[in-house]
Amino acid sequence: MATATLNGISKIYDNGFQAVNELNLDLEDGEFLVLVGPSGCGKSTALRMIAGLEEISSGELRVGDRLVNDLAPKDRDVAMVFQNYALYPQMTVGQNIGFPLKLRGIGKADREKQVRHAAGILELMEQLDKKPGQLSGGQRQRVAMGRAIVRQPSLFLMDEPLSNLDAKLRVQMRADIASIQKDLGVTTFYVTHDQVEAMTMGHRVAVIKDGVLQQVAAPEALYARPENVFVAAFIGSPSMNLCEGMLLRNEHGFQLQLGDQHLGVPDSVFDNRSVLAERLEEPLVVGFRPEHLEDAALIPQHPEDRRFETTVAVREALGAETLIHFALSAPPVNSGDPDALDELGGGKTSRCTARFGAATRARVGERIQVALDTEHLHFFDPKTHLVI
Amino acid sequence: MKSKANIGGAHPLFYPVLVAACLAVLTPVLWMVSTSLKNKTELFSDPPLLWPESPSLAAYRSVFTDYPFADYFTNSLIVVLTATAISLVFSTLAGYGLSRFKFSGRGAFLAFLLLSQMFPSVMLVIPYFKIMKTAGLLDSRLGLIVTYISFTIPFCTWMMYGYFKSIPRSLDEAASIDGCGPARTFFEVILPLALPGMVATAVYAFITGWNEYLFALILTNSESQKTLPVGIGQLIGQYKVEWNELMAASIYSTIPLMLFFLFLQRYLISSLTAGAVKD
Repeated sequence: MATATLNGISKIYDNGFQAVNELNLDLEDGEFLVLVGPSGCGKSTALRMIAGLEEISSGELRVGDRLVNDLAPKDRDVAMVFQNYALYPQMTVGQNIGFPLKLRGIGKADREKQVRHAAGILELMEQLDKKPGQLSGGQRQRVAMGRAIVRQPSLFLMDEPLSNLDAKLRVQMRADIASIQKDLGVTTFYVTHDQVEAMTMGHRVAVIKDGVLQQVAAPEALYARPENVFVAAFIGSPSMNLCEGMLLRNEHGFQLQLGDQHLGVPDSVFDNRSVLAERLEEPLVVGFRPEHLEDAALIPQHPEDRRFETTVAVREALGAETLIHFALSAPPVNSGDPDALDELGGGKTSRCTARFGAATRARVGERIQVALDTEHLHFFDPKTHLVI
Repeated sequence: MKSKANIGGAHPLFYPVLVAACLAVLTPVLWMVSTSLKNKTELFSDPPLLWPESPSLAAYRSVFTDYPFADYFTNSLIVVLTATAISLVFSTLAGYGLSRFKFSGRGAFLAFLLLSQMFPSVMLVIPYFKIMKTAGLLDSRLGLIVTYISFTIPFCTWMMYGYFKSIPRSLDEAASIDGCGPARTFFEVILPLALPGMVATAVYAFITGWNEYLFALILTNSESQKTLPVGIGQLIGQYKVEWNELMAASIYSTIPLMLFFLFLQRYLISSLTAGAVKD
């Protein structure tokens, strides 16, 4: 157990491609930090540099107070769980888990005891004599975990360990890994492209894009106060609706203009955002989460001036809630997420998603009134994409 | 599981085609056995006999009594087994290095290995003869061993390179994180998984050497250094051919090949890496 510090870590490949750019992260003792980002953002490269599988081009990496930049992987006291498990197929489950101990010269009796202990935690006791080829995906995943935890390393590194599991198992393993990490208290660096994993598992979540760190915060803070457009769009599912808009002031008070719609805005949006008042009548990036939209028919008490009319394009009934997709006649904003769909509509309309109560009667093709909770708006600078 | 089910409900032509293919392969073998058991008159009887009326093992004895067949046999075994072992060791090490480490000139080196296989061997006989003469290795088993490994190592290296590339790199990485140095990673984790590839490579090297005729003929001279193919070839004389002895000798020469296969075929399975990584 130890802290880990990444101080200006960069990776530049021989062909000049910069995969990771000046990454600074501090992992506290026992912390579960999740590094999340879209595919090809450099997150796996960062992890592999910590493991020692990739050379660090510049910057300092410390595990505990040791500088480990130039140490071989085996001398860094880190354990890693691979995306594809990487089990030794010629060895049994027990031998796989015990292999790191064997390499450390731990005697057979001790080894067996520790392997059984790890297997007990992971519910693998029945499988100890089987070969990896005889196991299911979830069991293999747990063997890979076992090989990591049996060593009691300073640092766990996990490279998308759940991405090869089916959806149901993934949810279960998500909870299992989080609880095992909590019990063992080993500092953990976890890489994923799945923001749901990031939000549910991490003590803190670091969002990375194109090799550059965007924001590090606790999941709730990341969700409530994204620092830029990319984080806003990337965290949350369905993602935040983003479009261009403008704040105005007229005889009725403050107004939000989204395309041809004008919506009333409470004075409270300026609380803690003193700069915003100076940017009236300037184009802004406006964000609002799907759950802050509601079918106006379900909440008749919602102020009249905070509603707009639109046509239902797609309706997804999920049981507890219903997702409604619609087009908003305001220019879309590209968040920079390479995995996101291209906006349609020639740059004039934005695709928006609303999370309505299950009681909604909105049907595809109908005109409906949508109530926007204007107290929960996010504003970003259209040029820098930074939060205002 | 799937393949078993497939055989159970095979295509109606599956077995007829298999039987026809087996007949095509086995008929010459049957003819070889039958000829080797014939006596001198039966050899040339008209019409030819499919099976001799009085099968005799005389030819099997005479190849050892009338010719130094035991020497040929020993020479072949020593030369080919040594060449196979040396090829296997070097091509395994080279294949692993080429598949796992990046260094300048790697691509060019691989291309060069392949290029060396493109020369027709007839073109190389004279240069090899001169080299062996200079080195004092003419008419020796060592000369043949050196010659054979110079042919087999490049191709075997390619075979092993391809096989190592099919073993996931994340196993090397997992081993290095678990505490293995490069040597231990290779010997304890990767090498056991490369066994099927090594067997296929060994079989290739063995067959190549065992059947080699041209260089053995040119580079050896005395009876005590000749190998089996050369010895068998000598049974075809200028005025007569001892067909029964020729066939008996040929059958003797296939026995080591068969044993080699029988012994190694159980390692020729492709599923050693099953369960290592998620496909």
